[in-house]
Amino acid sequence: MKYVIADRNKAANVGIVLIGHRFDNVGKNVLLNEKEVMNNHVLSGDLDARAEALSGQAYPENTIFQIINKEDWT
Amino acid sequence: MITSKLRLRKDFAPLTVAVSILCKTPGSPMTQVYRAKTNTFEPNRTLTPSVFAPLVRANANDGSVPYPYGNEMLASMKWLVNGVDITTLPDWQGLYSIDVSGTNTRGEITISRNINPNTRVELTFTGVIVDKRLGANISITTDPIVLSTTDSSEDKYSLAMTDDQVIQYDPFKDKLLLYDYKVAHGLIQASDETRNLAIDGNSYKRSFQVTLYKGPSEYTGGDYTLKLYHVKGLNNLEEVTADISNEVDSITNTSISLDIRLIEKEDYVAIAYVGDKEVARKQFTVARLYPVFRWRHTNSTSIAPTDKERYDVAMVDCNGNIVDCPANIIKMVWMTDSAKITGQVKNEGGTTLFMLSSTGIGDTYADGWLDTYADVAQKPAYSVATDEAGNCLVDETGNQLIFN
Repeated sequence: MKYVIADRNKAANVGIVLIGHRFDNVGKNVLLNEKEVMNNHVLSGDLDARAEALSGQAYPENTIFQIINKEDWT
Repeated sequence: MITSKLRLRKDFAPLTVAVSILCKTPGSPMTQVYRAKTNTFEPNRTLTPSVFAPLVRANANDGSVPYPYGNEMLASMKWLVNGVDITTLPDWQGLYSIDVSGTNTRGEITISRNINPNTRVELTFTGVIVDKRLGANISITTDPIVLSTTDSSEDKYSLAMTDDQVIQYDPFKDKLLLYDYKVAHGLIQASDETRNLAIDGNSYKRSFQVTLYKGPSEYTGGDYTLKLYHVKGLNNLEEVTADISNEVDSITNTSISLDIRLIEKEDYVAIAYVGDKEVARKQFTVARLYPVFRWRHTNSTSIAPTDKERYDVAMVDCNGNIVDCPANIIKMVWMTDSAKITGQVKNEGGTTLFMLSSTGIGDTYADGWLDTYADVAQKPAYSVATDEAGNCLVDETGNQLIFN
């Protein structure tokens, strides 16, 4: 499973419920998993296209761990 | 002279309390998948945690509890893992947090722990509702939910569904329900095109695709059967079919269609059988939402001395929007108080029209006033109409009649 670092406001605007999610240390970006992005009815296309629509990018799990540890995510 | 004192108390109705656990993160549900090849969990809860909320609905039939949700009233909260207080379990330390704020999210637990395959975690919430009106404490305990992980090796079966694991139904957002109401009341003409436009992800007609996988590939063997069950408790499943269950429109091996107007809150499990052997199951929940709404009068004009009748229309806001045809969703019983008669019931519905002479309003400063108001509450899930013998009532074309 891949994970998406996405713009928090854009994710909320397409109806993704952000309860319990992890955010970067300034609160701008949110960490989503592949399932919640692909199950969203507003977004379309493959995972990369959907991530781009959220001003974000999809990463494999091990890369995500490197990013959030380096950037001190909540 | 001081007389003896007589203390008078407000006489409140007792609380009726319903509790359950709701998964608020459909992307991180109760069930995970473990990939042995890569030693990863999907989803990984350390990255996208799961949030579970005790859904407390406390209400009193005298209207003394303004909103049915009661999480703010929770005290002595405990989450139990297999019957043991989670705060006492060393292997859970730092992997959960419990909301202790004074808001309607009070009591929610956020879990960042992955559950190993073949481990079964039963999660239960207990607490106390403090009823300040009666000075009483009411103990509550939810039914348990099960956190589990499926080991997805190459030859394992698994079920996948195209909808969330928690299907929430908000009748305020249901355009199909509104279309039906308008057609039934002659407000618009029936039209297949309009009806189709009203069907979306918020409609009471909910269909989702179900796919059985064997390892990473879709299973296409003809000996596969899908059955749907109500979860009535631990190890207590009751099969539901389109023939015997009103809320089920159809069940095939690849799809399930439900009419979720008829469901207040129900837990389901879909089980796949190859031959007679169970090979995979998927649990999901359907719950009716009760969002906060605001009710107000439209007619606030004074009563002229020559007026014979009074007319008013209810206006309802929900989530910042004016609700079209609120009588479709909300039960509104119009009432009046005057100096002579209090609590006089007029009618139920979105509008009222009554004779002023029936209200007891007078002609002097002391009694020339009238309070108009309504007893309002969101209607519960629909039920099927039956006669005294339990036979379903139908219309002239054989369609079942439902009401709420």
